[in-house]
Amino acid sequence: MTSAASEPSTAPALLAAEGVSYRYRRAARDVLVDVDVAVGPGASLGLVGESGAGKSTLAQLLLGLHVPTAGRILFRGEPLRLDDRAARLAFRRSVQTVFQDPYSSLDPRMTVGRSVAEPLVSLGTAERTAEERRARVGALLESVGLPANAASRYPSAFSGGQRQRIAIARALAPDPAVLIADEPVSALDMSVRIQIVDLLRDLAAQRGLSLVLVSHDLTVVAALCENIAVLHDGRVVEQGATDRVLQAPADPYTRRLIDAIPRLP
Amino acid sequence: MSRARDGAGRVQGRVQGGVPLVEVSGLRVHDGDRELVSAVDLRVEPGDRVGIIGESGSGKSLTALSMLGLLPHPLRASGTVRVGGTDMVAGAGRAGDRVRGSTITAVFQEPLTSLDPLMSVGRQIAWPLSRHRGLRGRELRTAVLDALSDVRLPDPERVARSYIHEISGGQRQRVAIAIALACRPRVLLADEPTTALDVTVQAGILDLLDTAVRDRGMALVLISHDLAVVSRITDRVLVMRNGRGIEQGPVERILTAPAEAYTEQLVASARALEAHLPAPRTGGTPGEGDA
Repeated sequence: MTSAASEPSTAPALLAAEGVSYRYRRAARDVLVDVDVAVGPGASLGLVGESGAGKSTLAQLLLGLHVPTAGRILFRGEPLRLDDRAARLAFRRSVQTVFQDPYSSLDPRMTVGRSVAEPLVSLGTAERTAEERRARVGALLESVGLPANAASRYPSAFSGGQRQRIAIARALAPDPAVLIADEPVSALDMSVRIQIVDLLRDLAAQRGLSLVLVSHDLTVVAALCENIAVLHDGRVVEQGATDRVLQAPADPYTRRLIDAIPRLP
Repeated sequence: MSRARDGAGRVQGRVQGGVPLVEVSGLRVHDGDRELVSAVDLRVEPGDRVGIIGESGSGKSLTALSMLGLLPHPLRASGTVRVGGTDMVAGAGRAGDRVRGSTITAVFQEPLTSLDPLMSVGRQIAWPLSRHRGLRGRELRTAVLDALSDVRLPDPERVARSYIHEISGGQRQRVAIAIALACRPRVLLADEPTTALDVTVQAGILDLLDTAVRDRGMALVLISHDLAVVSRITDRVLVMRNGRGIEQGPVERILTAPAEAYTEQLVASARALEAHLPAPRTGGTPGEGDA
């Protein structure tokens, strides 16, 4: 916890990890050790680090997919409760996710429309009738830059970038307050990558969405997030405003990470 | 031509009077009636460092496999692909075997799939050494350890006894490079050699490729989707798109004055993302650390 003590956050956190440690069952050691991170309403936080740093595990804890071994996850200031069905559904509506690989995150046998509507059905949102859901799906697809009639087609008809747009539309379906994206552009080509980065930035701004972005790629985090937390061996070695951390990293590991990025001459 | 950079140690170049090390012209790759690669031309002279850049589906890896004569069934190549004078289109089988290993060797993206999980690292390196250089016994053993220290693996004795699940991803890629270098090829073909690796590990591997190729006066063909990676260790770039080589030239020219709109867009995307980072520090080589 050397320099992790960072700038005090101004807004109360929407979603936070407080002193969180996590150990996988039968593992010899903790993959996360005493981690504190928080994202405020409409704010953005990048979790960066290399493989094995614990960043995806932290994202899964923030999504309520695992329960911390120590410490707690707070949502709107309250400890996360997953045992209560109503509370769990409310949380799932509010905190949604996008994964790295749009080829495996979309069911190839479902039309795009069904995939995007799926959270509306399973999370019991306001859209009760098929007609309401169809209209909502059309609007969601258009909001990510796809035509509404994409709903009737299958994922195989779309490119990687388009599939990631579909995955984002699905995540936005229950009108969440937080979007947690785990390496959302790592599987995409460079020119597509920048389009998805722009889309995420625009959507977050329009909807006042909080963004938690997990990435091994500092460049993508720099492009999207106001705040950054650098993870190394399960610990947050440094966090703060992205500009400050990139310009003047306090931790030697952060420095090494920045210096290793290949640059154009 | 394009020997910008420094030229040191690899200018013994074109001694063989006009026979290029690798000559690809009018390469086409077919899958039945479908044409996956339709027009690729590339010449590699001794000591050249050439990058092939393109996005997924651009045909860059199929071009690489064609150079090795290793296109998977049922894909077929046509046109000219010569490596060290051997026709890799017609002689993909036996004739290719003599060229692969001695003239050209390859390193691929994922060392976990290119290395044998059931054979110790030492034995995997010993195999090409005994086959191509006829080494046996103590000589072979020494050569194995030399090969491992050449790729800057710590404690070669231990690594030689290890199996690949016992070493890290970066170390595995170093082993794959050691195997590729073991037969002293004249061209090293590296297809996305750092794409599966962490960024700090990537820096070390690029460094290693850079010096290994220079020290041995070898040619390098580096295939990558990442312009920054390609421009770091090559002098000339071939840009591929939809199975075609659309543009070729010195790295500097491609980055500053691309002739094709597509190349321009590729460079602009890379620059746009990079613009979010602070300017790089000058001096100091990054990434000597490789966990």
